Amino acid sequence: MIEPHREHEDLRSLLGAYALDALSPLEHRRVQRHLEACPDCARETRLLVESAAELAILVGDEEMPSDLIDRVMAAIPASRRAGRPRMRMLVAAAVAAVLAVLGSVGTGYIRERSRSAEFARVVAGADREVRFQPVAGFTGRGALYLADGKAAVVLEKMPPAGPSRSYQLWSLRGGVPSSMTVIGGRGRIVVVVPWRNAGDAFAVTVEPEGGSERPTTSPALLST
Amino acid sequence: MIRALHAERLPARAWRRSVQALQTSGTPPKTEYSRTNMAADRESELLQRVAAGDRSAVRSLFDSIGPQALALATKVTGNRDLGEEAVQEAFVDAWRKAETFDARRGRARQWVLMLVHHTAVDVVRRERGATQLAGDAPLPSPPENPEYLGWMSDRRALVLEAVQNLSPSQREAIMLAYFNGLSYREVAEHLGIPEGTAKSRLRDGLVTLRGLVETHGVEWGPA
Repeated sequence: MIEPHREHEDLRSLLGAYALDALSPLEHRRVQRHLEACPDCARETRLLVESAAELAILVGDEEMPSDLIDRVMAAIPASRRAGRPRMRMLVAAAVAAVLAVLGSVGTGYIRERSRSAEFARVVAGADREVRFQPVAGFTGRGALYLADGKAAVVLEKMPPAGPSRSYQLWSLRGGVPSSMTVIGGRGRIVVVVPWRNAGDAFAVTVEPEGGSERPTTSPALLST
Repeated sequence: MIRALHAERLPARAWRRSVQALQTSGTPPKTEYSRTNMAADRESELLQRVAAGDRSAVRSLFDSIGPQALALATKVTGNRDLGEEAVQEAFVDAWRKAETFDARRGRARQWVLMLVHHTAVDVVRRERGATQLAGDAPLPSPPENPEYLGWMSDRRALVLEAVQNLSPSQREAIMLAYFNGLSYREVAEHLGIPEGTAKSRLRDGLVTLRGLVETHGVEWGPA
């Protein structure tokens, strides 16, 4: 659990990036929620946003294609309440941003498209983001997005676990591990698993194929 | 003519002043600056008509702000087609959100351009994600010198001068984030600096920018 003061300072350090639209969708939402509860940060943000908005004036004008306004008018719903196509775009943007944050994306993403809707929903609804760092010589990395009831796991550059071996994801509560899932595969791995809102740290270990009841090796990845 | 600025001394003082001004009055100090005010009033009125559901006002607002919106979106996305897509989405968004515009707290043009920027960043990140599927797309090159971005008004010249008076490291970080649509993490990666440093440069740079512009009497509030 992050202390309130530390979380405040952490979020406050993001306000410039927030004003410049330079946050991930998840961070953007975290900041927005914080601003609703913190008048000091809200005041500072207002100044920063005004400052950032002024930058737009540096661009000149661009000649408009004659049909652009017609396209805009055609896209405006008759009623303000009709349709919410933007939500879909936000979800797509959330996924794209997650992938961008994690760096190069393999062709595996194409295969994952069918699963990507659920993945996107979990990422978009996540209220906590955890990053994994490799431990001593391990090459993989990753992130975990925790939403209500589900967690999305994205692992990158994972080497093969080895013959008759699997990766296993653990949540740790007070240092006591409990298994979240066993993960097969290599390279880029995306999995959505149930999440019971318990755990203050997370780890990935290499285990005998099929997983173990408790970790039998030191973590390859550990949450930061 | 704007005199040379001591950028390193201004920010904290100007920042405190603007915070104090907001705390005491709720609105920033008002100073005269002229000719864009009539246009700003008109745009504000148009946006309020949009909020009331007047579709014809969307067309008029688009005639007024569209060219700059397209220039901004094209700059951020680096692509004219994507720029048009972003402008279209942003104006539809403006239609939906116009009721949240408060004319007492800002200009209609800035409000719309904020939506345009936000949408353009969404679009470019969406595309960047897709591009990376085909192979690692290189990060965009550093933006051109702001001097070449052009300007049409005294205000633009003033903001331009303020941007040029930022420290090179702050200017570079802000240009990459704002005009290239990079996240602070990408800015950090691009510049080879820690993420914390990137966050600080963006935040401190915006504070400094405000201080530099305010020093020369540009109002930040409504026309």
